[in-house]
Amino acid sequence: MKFRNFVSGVLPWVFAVLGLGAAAAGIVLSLTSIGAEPVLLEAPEAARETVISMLDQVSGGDYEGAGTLMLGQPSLGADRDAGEEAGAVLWSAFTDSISYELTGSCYATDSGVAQDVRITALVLDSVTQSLRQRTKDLLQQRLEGAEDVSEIYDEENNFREDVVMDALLEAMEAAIREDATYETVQVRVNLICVDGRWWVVPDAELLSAISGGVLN
Amino acid sequence: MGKLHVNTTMRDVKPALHLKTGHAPENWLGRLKTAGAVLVSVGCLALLALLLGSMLVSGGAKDAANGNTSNGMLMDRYDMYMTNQISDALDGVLAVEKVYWLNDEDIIAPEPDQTKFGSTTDPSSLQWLLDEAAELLEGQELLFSTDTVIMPGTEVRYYLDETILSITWKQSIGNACYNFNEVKIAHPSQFRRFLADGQYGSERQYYTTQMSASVNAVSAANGDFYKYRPYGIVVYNGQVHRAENTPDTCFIDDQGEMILVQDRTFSSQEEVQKFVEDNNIRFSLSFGPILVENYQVTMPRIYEFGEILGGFSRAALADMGDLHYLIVVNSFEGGLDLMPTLRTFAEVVQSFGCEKAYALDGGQTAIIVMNDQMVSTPSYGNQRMVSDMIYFATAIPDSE
Repeated sequence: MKFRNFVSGVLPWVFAVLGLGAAAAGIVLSLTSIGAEPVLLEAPEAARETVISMLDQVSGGDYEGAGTLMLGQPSLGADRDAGEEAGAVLWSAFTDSISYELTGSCYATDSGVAQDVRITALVLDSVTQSLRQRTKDLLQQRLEGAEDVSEIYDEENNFREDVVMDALLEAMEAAIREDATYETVQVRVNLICVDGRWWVVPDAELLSAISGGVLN
Repeated sequence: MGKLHVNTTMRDVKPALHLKTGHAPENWLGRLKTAGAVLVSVGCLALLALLLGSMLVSGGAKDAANGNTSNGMLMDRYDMYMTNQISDALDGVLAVEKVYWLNDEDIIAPEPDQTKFGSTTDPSSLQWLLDEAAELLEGQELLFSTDTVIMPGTEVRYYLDETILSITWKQSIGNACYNFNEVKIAHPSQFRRFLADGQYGSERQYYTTQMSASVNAVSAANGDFYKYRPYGIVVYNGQVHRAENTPDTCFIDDQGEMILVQDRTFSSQEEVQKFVEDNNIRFSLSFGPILVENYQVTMPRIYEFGEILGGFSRAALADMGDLHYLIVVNSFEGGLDLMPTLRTFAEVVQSFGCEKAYALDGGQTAIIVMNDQMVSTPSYGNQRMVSDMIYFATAIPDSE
């Protein structure tokens, strides 16, 4: 009897106190964990597909298309051709050389999800470092093969610009064929989900890998 | 504890029960407490879940934004990279040595730069000239040096640009006056032959100084005077125009080499033509004889032309090295009146270290000209009108 009276009298207060305590704890927890990183229990297939689509765009030379799959949809500034013809030839060779391989599955991270990728591409410097000697040698050949000085020199006795640039272009093409080396880098492609859609995070590591180090 | 009476009703029981348990149906405070506690707990849990769920979306975005380094300058940066690479590559163009040359079909050579002609009476003051010509000389030594003893009262004349060094001077050798024109050229096409009016067979003749001026020669000398006699081999601009009774002949190929061929080597013009084609011959000189071969005097004892046994002005073309020539003419001047025989002349020429030497027409024909002015004094004091000459020209094109 006394026990029943005790229980019936005290129990509600116990629940009330517990409820208030839980509420307080919940509020405190929420306020102190605003910056906490969520933990996801599984990574969606859609994120992996986003990585594939983005890299397909890059390997096709469509950097603007790749940018539409990146967080913030940045313009990567590749909406025009390279300024010099020799530069355009090299850039085309670079984008043609890009290949990738997804390693493992997409996995959850503290900030979202990530997909490890091996990206293989032409090393720009391996081509350009031989450009000087090749251009010089080609110009020398043109000089030796010319039948008239006007084929090589202009009215001011300087090398004709068209002859020089032609030699430069030919040197570039030869260097691409014979001197180019290729490098494979391991990149972690980070993604986050915004408004139900996965976006590639355009961080420095990824941009450097897909631009031959131009963007870094 | 008393027993319940059976006659009591539920209305009576309830209060009784209440009294027994201590609860009263109207105890709203307790129920309110219970309900409130439950509601507050549930509400907090819901709020907690809501907050946790929102962090799933927004927390990572902030970190991602912090890692976003896209700057939209891919092509701009690539162009900058390529500009540097191309600039470096084109720097190599400057290292390509400019090579100028002349076409044989162009009868008139580029005009020499008058500011590059000079003269001095003191050979020792010309070290700067030799230093400046070092690249053109490509390690070859000149016969002329700052120690050369020139004839008193005479001067050294010179011309130097990127493509040609030409020096003339006089020396006394064995009581004879020897006139020299030493030339180093950059390209074989600068050693040229000129026939009067620029064509074979012209009936007109000119002074060597006139022809020199007409073609912009830096320096010139007489040729074989092909029009004087109706025989000998005449090759001009790669074409054989005559091949009669062929004496010792000096062919000049497209590398500037002197190819010496003894007389009667060819029996027909067709053979000469084939030889010309096989050896890329540009022009020929047909007087002779061959004076020096393999650094040795090889002239014959008897020769059809040139009165080799008498004392006359002589002229010779000598090979001093790669694109390096020496014209030697002896003359009567400065009180030096010895006129050597051809053999004596050949021995003097050989003493200069030439690999090959070939006699050109002598006598009054023999002459050296620089900048359209006589350097050597011809026999009898005056030039002779002739049908041809050999000359050396600059290859630097005329600037507009």
